[in-house]
Amino acid sequence: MAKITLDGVEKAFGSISVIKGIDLEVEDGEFIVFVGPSGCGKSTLLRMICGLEEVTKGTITVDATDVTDLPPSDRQLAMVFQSYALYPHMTARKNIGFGLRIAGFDKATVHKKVLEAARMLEIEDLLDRRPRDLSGGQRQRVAIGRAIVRSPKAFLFDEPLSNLDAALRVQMRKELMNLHETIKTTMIYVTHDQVEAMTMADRIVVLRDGEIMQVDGPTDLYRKPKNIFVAGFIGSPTMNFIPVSSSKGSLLLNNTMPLPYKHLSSAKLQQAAKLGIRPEHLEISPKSGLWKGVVKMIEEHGSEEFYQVKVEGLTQLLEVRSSGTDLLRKGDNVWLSPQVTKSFIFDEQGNTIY
Amino acid sequence: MRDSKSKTTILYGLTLVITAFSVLPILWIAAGAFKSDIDMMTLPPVSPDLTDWSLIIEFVAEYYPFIFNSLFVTIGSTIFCLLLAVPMAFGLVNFKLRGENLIADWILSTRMMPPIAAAIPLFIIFNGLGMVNSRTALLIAYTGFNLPFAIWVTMTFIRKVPKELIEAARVEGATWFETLLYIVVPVSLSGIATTATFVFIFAWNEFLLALFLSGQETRTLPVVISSFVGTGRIYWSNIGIATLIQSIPPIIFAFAMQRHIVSGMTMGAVKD
Repeated sequence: MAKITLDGVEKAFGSISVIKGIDLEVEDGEFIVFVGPSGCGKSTLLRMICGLEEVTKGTITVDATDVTDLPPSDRQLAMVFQSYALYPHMTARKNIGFGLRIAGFDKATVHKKVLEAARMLEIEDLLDRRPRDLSGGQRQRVAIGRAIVRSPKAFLFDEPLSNLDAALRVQMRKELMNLHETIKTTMIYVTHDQVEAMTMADRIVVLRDGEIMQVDGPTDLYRKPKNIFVAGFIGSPTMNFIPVSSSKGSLLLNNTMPLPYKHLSSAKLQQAAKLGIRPEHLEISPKSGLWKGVVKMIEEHGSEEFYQVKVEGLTQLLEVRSSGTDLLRKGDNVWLSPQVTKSFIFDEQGNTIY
Repeated sequence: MRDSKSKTTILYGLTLVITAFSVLPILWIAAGAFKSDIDMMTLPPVSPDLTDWSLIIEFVAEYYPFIFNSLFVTIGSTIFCLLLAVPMAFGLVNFKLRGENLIADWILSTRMMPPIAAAIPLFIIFNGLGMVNSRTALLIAYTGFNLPFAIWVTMTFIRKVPKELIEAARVEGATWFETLLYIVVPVSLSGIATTATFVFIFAWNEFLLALFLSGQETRTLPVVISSFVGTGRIYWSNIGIATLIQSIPPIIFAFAMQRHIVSGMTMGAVKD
């Protein structure tokens, strides 16, 4: 169990800067998720914490010890890889016990600890199988067992569920969260899937191009995104963005459609460049509303539908979520009403000003 | 119909002829293990009595020290070569070394040199060390000659070990040596076996360096065979027996390693 601190951490491959100055404090026992699009540096950052990549600048501290120059073997961290990285020539039992045997524990202790970890993960019956005789989910459990058994200061997960099918992924997600509840160790989890991030994390670090865009709990990220990138990244389907300008205390959507915006001073309104509104905050009705439009496409999800609507006066299609009181069809005339209080205004630089 | 039948017949006939070309000389010499010199020269050919092992037994009783020399030098240099090549290959693959490309090219270039160019210099060196006529000299020479090739081949197999296995071991606290010993070697065992086969066969069959560097008592089997071509007569029967013995280890090795060599070639070809 340990607090992990990143101070001014940078990473460059030759002249290419990949991580551009990260300051982060991970609290002891926290489940923190690094999330971001491909290439944002989240895996690199994780590997730097682990010691598999060198730090170009800055320091990494684990449990009050500066580990920046320590090899991975001396950091007392455990890593679970996306491809599990199980030793193919060893049984599950030997895989899990490898780290302990290397550390010099006697056979009896190793046996006991391996059994404990296996019980926790419900894989006792699989201990004498080789990795090639295990399914993906079982292999992943062995990989996690290998990490648990060493009682590390923190667990590092590098997209561990990416190779599993959707149903198994959902199940494993829950199991990992249960695990965290049980062993209460710091866990740093990397994923590109923002749904995974939202469901599992105590706090989420949103990364882009090697920089932190925002660090917050899931609810705060959703309700109070600090910039347009986070606003667009968190939430599925993505937020709708409409270019705006201001005039006489009102917002002009697409420079034509007025939208009264009482929540901002006119001074602030001057800076407005984009309006963001989530699909779930647009109400759709065949009878009445603020904006008139036509349904262009429907995505049926069973419990809800997503409509793509072409609103008169706007060039782009708006994505709208509905829980199905009125089932609409393609080509239907509809009315949209935005919940203005739940919308966001962004300036030219992408910062949230409302 | 007829055409293809005669075509097949011709092809079979050709195959038989070519096979005969390759196999008959070997059969003739091997037959010498069971026939006396005179019997080998008579026409029409006398068929060998395959139950009569007396000639073979006599030969082994007299020449077993040289068989031992061959075994000693071959097995010894194979072991030494592997002990050096595997860690070196591991290092070259896993560590960023300055000029590592140059090292790789240099390794390959030594394979392009004809051994005879090195024979005299090696003789002078070992003579200076007082080691000519010793088995050790040959062992060292074979290890040295085989090492670049062994490193080269081992490197290609070690490269196939997934990087994440090594990373996982390192994160678990294994030192580089422990990672090599417990993870990399077991996983690339087929490749190491392939390397061992090549190294062994080279050393076992080597003639030139053995001729230069070994003495009366430390001669290896290939040198002994050449000594059967005397100035007055040729000891055909002995040549036959010795050749038979000389071919046994490579044949055994090739059969035993067959599985490894084939799997070694395809290991890692398909994503797991």
